[in-house]
Amino acid sequence: MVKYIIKRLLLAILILFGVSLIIYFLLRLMPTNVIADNYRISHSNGGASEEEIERGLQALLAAYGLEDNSFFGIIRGYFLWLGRFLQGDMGESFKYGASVQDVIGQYMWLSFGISFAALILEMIIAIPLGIKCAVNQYGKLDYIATILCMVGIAFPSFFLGNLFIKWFAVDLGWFETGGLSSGISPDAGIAYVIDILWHLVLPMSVMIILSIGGLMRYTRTNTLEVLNADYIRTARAKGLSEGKVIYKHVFRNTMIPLVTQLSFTLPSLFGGAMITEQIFALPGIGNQAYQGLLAGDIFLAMGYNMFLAVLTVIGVLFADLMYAVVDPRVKLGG
Amino acid sequence: MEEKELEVAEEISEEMISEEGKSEKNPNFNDNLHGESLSDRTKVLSPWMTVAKRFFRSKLSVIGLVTIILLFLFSFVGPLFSPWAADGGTVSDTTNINLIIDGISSPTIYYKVNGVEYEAIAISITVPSYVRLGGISWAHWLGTDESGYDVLTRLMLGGRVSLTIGFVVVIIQTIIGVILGGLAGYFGKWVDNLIMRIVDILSCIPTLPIMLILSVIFTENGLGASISKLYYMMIFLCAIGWTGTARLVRGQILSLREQEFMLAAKASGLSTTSKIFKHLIPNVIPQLIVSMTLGLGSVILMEATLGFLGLGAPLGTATWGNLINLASTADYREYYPNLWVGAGVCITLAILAFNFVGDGLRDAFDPKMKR
Amino acid sequence: MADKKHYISRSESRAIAKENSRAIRHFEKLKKRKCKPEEYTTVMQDDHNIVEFDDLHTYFFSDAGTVKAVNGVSFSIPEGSTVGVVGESGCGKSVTSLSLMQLVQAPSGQIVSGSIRFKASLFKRDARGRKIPVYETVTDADGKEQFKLDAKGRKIIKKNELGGNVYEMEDRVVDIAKMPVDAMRSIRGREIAMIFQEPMTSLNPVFTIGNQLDEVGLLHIQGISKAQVKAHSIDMLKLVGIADPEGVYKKYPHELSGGMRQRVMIAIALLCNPKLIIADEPTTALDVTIQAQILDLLREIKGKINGSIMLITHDLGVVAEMADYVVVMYAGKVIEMGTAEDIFDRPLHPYTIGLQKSKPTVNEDVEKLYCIPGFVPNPIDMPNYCYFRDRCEKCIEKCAGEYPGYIQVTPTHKVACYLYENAKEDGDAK
Repeated sequence: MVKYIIKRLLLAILILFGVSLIIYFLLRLMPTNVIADNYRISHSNGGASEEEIERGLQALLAAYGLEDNSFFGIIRGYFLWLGRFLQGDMGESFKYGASVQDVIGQYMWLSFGISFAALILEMIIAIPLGIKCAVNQYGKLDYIATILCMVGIAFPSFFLGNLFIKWFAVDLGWFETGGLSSGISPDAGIAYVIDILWHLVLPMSVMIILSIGGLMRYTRTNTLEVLNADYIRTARAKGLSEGKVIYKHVFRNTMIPLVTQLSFTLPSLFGGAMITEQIFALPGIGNQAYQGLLAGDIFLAMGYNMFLAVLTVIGVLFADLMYAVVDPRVKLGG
Repeated sequence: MEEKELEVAEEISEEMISEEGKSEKNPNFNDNLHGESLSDRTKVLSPWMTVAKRFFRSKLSVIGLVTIILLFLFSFVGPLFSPWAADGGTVSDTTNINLIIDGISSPTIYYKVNGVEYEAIAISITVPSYVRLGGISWAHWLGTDESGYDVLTRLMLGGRVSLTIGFVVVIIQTIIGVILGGLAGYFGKWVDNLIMRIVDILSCIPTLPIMLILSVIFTENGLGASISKLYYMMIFLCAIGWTGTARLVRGQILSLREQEFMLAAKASGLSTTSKIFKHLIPNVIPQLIVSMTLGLGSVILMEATLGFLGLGAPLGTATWGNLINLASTADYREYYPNLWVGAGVCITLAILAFNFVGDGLRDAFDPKMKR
Repeated sequence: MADKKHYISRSESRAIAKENSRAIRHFEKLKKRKCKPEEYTTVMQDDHNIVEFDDLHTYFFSDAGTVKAVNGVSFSIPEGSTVGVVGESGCGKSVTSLSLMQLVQAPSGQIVSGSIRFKASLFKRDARGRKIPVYETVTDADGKEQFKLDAKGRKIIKKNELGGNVYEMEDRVVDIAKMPVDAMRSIRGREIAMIFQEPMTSLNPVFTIGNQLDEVGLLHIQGISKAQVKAHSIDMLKLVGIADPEGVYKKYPHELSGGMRQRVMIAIALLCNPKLIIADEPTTALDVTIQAQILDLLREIKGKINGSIMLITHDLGVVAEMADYVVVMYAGKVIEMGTAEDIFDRPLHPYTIGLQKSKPTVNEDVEKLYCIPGFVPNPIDMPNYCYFRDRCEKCIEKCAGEYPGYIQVTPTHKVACYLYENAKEDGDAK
């Protein structure tokens, strides 16, 4: 068990090394003068003199080996970056004038809150519905739910988001077109919270509609598979009621792939829903990173992408561990 | 009947197996056993015909297929019937000018004529960028955009680009995936290890953020206005998108190697290579077709997403993504849904149709999922 | 229909689908209906039987057409006996047993007509449908029986030896084919238990053996405590010859061998002391030495529980060893039945004879194992003459006629074959 986890961790480190190398090389395609310009813009507001800025810029370029765009220069730059990254320094975000780790730390929690709430709602709806559809396979409910799910899966987030804004915010005027609050002061207490929640209705509906279909269909497929298993027939032969058969014997087995699948949502849970946040102008990490990427904020790009890659790797690892937790047949090792 | 036959197939010796049950179980293997021993009441359908039959029995698959055909006709044949297609959809006459109301707060004047009360509102007009915008009319079924292009024609032309990109990217991804997955599975050992680690690494790369920053980088490198930016980005998409196919092909080869008939082939002196390829192709092609069909939807979505964010094809080029990009302008989103809803519907329909067909194919190929 | 129809055209396939969904809906509704027990109460034809199948038809409504998996099966299981049902794969023997449990794979598989009479002992219900408990009584000073009361002055429900409540029971012959699922549930696992073919997959992989055993006890024995159930489960594990019952109780199915799992399955079946155990090919998936052990166990247990066993198998050796009566099935019909001696010493139907010949033997010097020529006809489109005619070596002119009826050769021995139309007299003459 321990040996297996160590092996997996080593592999994870190797993967992250590869990922960071690739991302770094891609980012170094950015012309150096763009980086320099971004730096100057970012620091010109602080009242620093031009000389100071230039000196700071040269120091930055030297510290990260950014002046040398030859192959070996880039390799050297990579290790300079890696050294700092391993010490927890992800560089400076030009766009936000703060360190990248602070930017991520600051905006991550809003994204996490929204995504997590959406995920919970999604599970509450999708899992029972998926099981119900599987039990009544080819029934009316099954057909309707399947078609709706397929439509939900097919909708691009930007299209659905804009449609929702057009209908519910502009035409009907029920919700706000975007943002997180309409300027009520945090001192207002409950009214402030309700205001925020009201702003979140549309983006969360979009997120739920887009991903509920996948989860429902996954549940349905797995339930169908389990329903055909011999042990379900055994359970029925024992005289158990249909409810008990399904919610004890079927559900426990359906959970196994489901839990694994949910582990893979980790990156989107913390990494934010870039497009939805952007459409609804929510100050989550997805939207902030998007603005940063657009501005060519190279350290933020590197940091954010590595953040996502680490989450992905952890998600995969977590899925493996969860498998061993949920399925007594799985023993980690070997 | 399915139950009965499965039970049959499990139980006992070859000659007792009802032939239909057997062919159901294993549609991809074309062993000669069926042919000789079938009762004369049932005809053996060739495996592909069986698949086609199952596919067409599902309503959703047929709807999907019809939608795809219609979208293709719309994109590739449609422009031939559009009077505006010749010049990329540019409209020469600008008679269809629409005005934007800038504000209703201006003083309202009431006056009476013959006892009927009339109301007049003073308006100010902002002309420049909206001058060519047009609403829905007989000449322009979906109106015209700010450059005076006919939206419907743009939609058709955009479909050409989006669908072509989808197909080309998916085909390239599949080719790379098959080759590398095949190499990994066939040679095993360090080749397998190397390729699979690359697969692990590539599948951890966050696609959308990287595509965004790449777009910025290409623009900064002076590619902003040329369509080659889109090509480079699609090349990148090909370069990281093959991992799924590679896993699939490798897995198939490995499981084939494990199977007993492979041992039999070896024992009878047949070369493993030819056996692998003989059995690999019928085993893997159905899955490849399914994954390609489903992949098409996701590539089209990726192009559209980039287009929506204004980072895909250069802004002048008509693609579905660029058309829906108009929705990010608040005025267009609110007052001119005709400009972007069409593109959104097309993208949604395309993804939906490819998903329907992909699911239908999977069910048709995989008889276990049959009712 | 006999003209060579090759495949199903679209319109035909649509018609089949429509007809199927109509039929399935009809039968599913019947199964889910609420009804009074009187509706499915009947009487046994012979009071010594525990189960009587009477002209049972179980069909599968498949896309290719209706498969008559069980097509008019009639036989009975006498109390305290072992009945072997033999036949090749797909002959409908498993479906017959699943029909008895109402476990035919729904929705496509449905019991269409016929009846399955079962002598059940059900809970007596009061006017409001509640079970009527039996209370503890004491004889008071006057010699009158009175209810024993607990500290709070309530009547105490009598407990049985396991610790479960005792309720008033009534014997009632029910027709399982007409029973709604709800009512069927109190019979499944309690009165009729089933052992399946695949011990490897018949236990739920995510629950411990103990959990899966206790479940049955908690379900069917009312008022029993968890500790009592556990003790009972462990007793059962001991009974089926598991050496370390406490250890196995805590294990997961994947930690046990196939033979052990089959023993666990038998323990589950025995838990509520059923009147009938259906063993559907209980030894097919096991290797030979384990097979013998499991068969021994079944025989031993039959003696202990004083019940009947319906043993389904394609292995004539198993039947010879175990069964008192044998029923031979072919293509959804019973073609011959009789006592074990009848079938083994005096097989009549050409198919039974062929089946015996195709059994491998050690003593005789046979060059090649006998093999019945030809194939079972397509189950969707059965001919209306004897189903075995095309494969039969002793085919006579009459076989072209309609499907033969049963001929009672001796009081215990019946066969459906035209060859023996005059055999009854012969038999008597001997």
